[in-house]
Amino acid sequence: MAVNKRFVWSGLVLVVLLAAALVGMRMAQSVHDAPPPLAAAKHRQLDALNELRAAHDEYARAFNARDTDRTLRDSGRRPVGLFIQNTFFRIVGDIGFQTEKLSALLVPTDPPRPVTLDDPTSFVFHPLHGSVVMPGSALTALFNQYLTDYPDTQLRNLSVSTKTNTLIVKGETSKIPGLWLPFTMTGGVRLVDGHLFVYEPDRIEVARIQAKGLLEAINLGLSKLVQIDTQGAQLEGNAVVLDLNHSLPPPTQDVRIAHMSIDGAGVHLDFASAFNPPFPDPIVKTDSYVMPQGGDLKTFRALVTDVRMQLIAGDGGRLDTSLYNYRAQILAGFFDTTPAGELVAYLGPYTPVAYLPSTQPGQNDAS
Amino acid sequence: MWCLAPRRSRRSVRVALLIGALGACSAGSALGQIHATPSPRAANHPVPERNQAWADTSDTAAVRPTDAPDPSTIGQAGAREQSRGQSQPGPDNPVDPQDRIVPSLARRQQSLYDRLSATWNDRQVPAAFSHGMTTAHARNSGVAHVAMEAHNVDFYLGDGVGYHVRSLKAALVPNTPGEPIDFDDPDQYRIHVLSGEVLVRPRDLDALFNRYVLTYEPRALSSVENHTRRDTLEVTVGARLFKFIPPVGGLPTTLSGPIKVGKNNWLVYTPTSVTQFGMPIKPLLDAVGLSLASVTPLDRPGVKLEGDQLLMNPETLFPPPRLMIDRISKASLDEDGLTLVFASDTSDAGFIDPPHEADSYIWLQSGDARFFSTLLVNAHLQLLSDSDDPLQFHLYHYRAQSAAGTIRTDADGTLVVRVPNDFEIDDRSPQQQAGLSRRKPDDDGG
Repeated sequence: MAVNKRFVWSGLVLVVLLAAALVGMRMAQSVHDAPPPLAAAKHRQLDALNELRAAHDEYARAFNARDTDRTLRDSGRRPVGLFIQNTFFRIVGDIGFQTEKLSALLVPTDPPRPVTLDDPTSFVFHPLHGSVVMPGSALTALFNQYLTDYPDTQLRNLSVSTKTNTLIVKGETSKIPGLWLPFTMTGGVRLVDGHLFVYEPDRIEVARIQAKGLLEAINLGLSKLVQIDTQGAQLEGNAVVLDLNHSLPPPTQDVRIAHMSIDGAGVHLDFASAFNPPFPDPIVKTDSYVMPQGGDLKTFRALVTDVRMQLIAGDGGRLDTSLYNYRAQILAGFFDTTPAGELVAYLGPYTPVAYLPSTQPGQNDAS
Repeated sequence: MWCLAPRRSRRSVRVALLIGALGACSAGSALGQIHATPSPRAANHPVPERNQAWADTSDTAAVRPTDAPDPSTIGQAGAREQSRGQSQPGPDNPVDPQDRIVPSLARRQQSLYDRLSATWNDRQVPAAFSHGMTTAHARNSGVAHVAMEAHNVDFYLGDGVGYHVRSLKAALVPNTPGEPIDFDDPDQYRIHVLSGEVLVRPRDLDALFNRYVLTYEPRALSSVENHTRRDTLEVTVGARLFKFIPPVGGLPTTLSGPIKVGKNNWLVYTPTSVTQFGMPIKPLLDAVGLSLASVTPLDRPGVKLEGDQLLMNPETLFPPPRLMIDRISKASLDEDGLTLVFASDTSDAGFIDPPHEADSYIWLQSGDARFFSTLLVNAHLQLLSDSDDPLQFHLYHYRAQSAAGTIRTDADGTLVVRVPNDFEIDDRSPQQQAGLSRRKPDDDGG
C-alpha cells in the first residue's frame, strides 16, 4: 500500500516537473517578428540614401537651394551647379575658354524642363566666380564660324591675335559683292557693364591703306562700311561691340565680368557674383575636370537628379572637352560609379563636330 | 586681275576701291545705338543673382504665346524650329536684338539634337504596355511600365535569396501609378510576369527559407535543407513541436513528396513521407488525428502549412519586389530544382532584342527606371556580366555591383552596364566619395 502511494506521488512529481519543464521551455523561447535581416538591411540603406540627399541640400543651400519637393523624377532644384578646373572648355570647335577655375550655374530656360546637355538652348550659363582666358584662336573661331557665318556676310578670313592690352584683328571685308579688301585693326578693348566688349581700334588699315584718318575726315564710321548681322555683335562708329551674353553660340550667357585684361595668351576674364561657392570635393583625385553638382541634368536618355558627376580625361591628361560634341567623348569613354551614385565619366579624346563650318566662311563668295 | 596688276597700280586700285566702297555705303543702314547701361531688368533685381536668373527665366516663359507648342514636349521638333531665331531666355540683349541671323552652327546643332532626341524618345513599347501611354516629357516617357527581359541570369534579391531565370519577359509596375521604377526600393514596384521559365534550385530554397521565411521566433521549423529529384522534393528540417519542443535546435525531420500547382497559382507541396530519426511518423500522426500543421504550425506571408500540405504563394514567397503571376502553366521537379513555367493572357509581343548579343543579360527597353539618382527616361539598358560566366545580378546590392563594373553608352542612348559577379558589398550605407584613384585604363569593362 505504502509502495503504491509512493509510486503515485512519484508519478505526480514527475508530471509536475515535466509540466514545469514544458512551461519553462515555452517561457524561454525568444519572441521576435522583426523584418528578415535582408529586408532590414535594405531599409537601413534607404535611410542612408536619404541622408545623402540631405547632404546635397546642405552643400547647395546658399547658391542653389531646392525650390520644390523632391520626387523620383525631380530633385526640386532647378539650376545645375557646374565646377570647372584646369580645362579647355569649348562650346563648339575652337570657341572656348581656357578655364583655370570657374563655378557657374546652368539655369534652365523652361523649367521644369531640366537642363539638357544636348540642347544648349535649354539653359543659360551663369558664371558665379572664377577666371578664364579666351585665346585669340577662340576669338578667331567665334568670328569666322559663328558671328560672320551667314550668306552675304561682309567679313571673312578673320584672325584675331592678342598682345598686352591690344587686340589685333585681320581679315577681309566686302561692301561691294565680290570685292574683298583686306583690313587690319589694332586697338584696346573696354569693358562696359560687365558683359559688353567695346573694341575701339586706334589703327585701321583697309587694303593696306590707313583708313581711320580717312574715315574720320569724311565723318564716316567703320559701321557704315561693314555690318554683322548676328545678335550680340555690332559695329558702332569705329568700335566693334560684342555682348558676351549673346555673341557666343548657345547657351546664352549671363555673365558679370569683374575684370578683363589682354595679353599674349588672350583675353582674361574674371567673373564675379554674389556667390563664390567652395568647390565640391572631386570624386577622383585629379586637378583637371568638369563637375556638375546639384540639380537635374539630362544627357542622352538619362536624367541625373541631384547630379554629382565628374568628367575627366580618359587618358589621364588635361581635360579638353566640348559642349556640342561631348557625346563623342562619352561614346569613346566610359562611366564609373560609386555606391552613392556619383558618376565619373572617363572621356575619350576631343573631336570637333562634323558640321563645324569652314574656318574661312564666305570664301565661296569670293570672286 | 588683282594679282596681275603692277604694285603701284594695285595701290591705286585699292584707294579707288576704298573710295568706291565708301561711296557705296553712303546709303548704309542705320544701326541701333548700343545700350551700354544697366538693363532695367537687372536694375530691378539687384540681389540675389540667382533669383535674378530665375526672374529672367520666368519672364521669358511668361511671354511665350499661350498657343505656342511647349518646346519641352518631346517629339515636337516643329515647335523647336519655330522658336529658333527668336530671343532666348536670359539677360537682356542690348546689342542688335533685332538681328535674326541664326548662324549655321546653332541651326545644325539644333537639327542634330532633333534627330538624336527623336531616337532617344522613340518609344519601343511592347504591345501590352502601350495602352494608356501619355504625352512624353523630358522627365517622363509617358509609359507606365518598364519592359524587362532577362535571359540566363541568376537573379538574387539579397543575402543569396533568389532564383535562376532561364528566360523572362515582364513588366515592372510601380505601386503608385505615374512613378518611375525605383530600383533602390523593392517595395515600390511589382514584377508582372508575362512569360518565361524560372529554376528554383535546392540552394535557392535553402536560402529562401533559412534567411528570409524562417527568421522569426518562436517558430516550428528551422535549418532547412532541400534536395530535388524527378517529381520529388526532399526537405530536411529541424522541427520544434508546437514551436518549443525541443527548446534548442529541432527534431531532425525529413519530408519528401511532389509539388503541384494549386488554386490561384499556389504551389502545393504534399509530403508522402515524413520521418524522424529514420522512423516514419506520418502514420502515428494520422492515428492520433494530428497533422503537420498542428504539431509544427507555420503561417507566414507567402507560405503556410495546412493539414499535411505546405502551401507556397510564389507572388509573395520571395522578398520584394512582389511578383504578379497570371498563370503557372507548369511546375516540375528534377535534379536541378523546381522549374516554374509562366504564362499570361497578356501578350508578350513587342519585346525587341537587346543591342548587344549575349546569352546572359537583363534588358530594359521602355518606360522609366531609376538607378542610383539617375532616371532613365524611355529606358534602354542592358546589364551584362563582365566575364564569360552568366550574369549573377544582386538587386538589393545593385549599387555595389554596378560600382564594381563599368557603364558605357551607345549612340542611341542605351546604357550598357557590365558588372562582376563577385564584388564587395560596400553599399549598406553609401557615403559620398572623394579623392578616389583613377580607374586603371585596362579596367574599363571593355
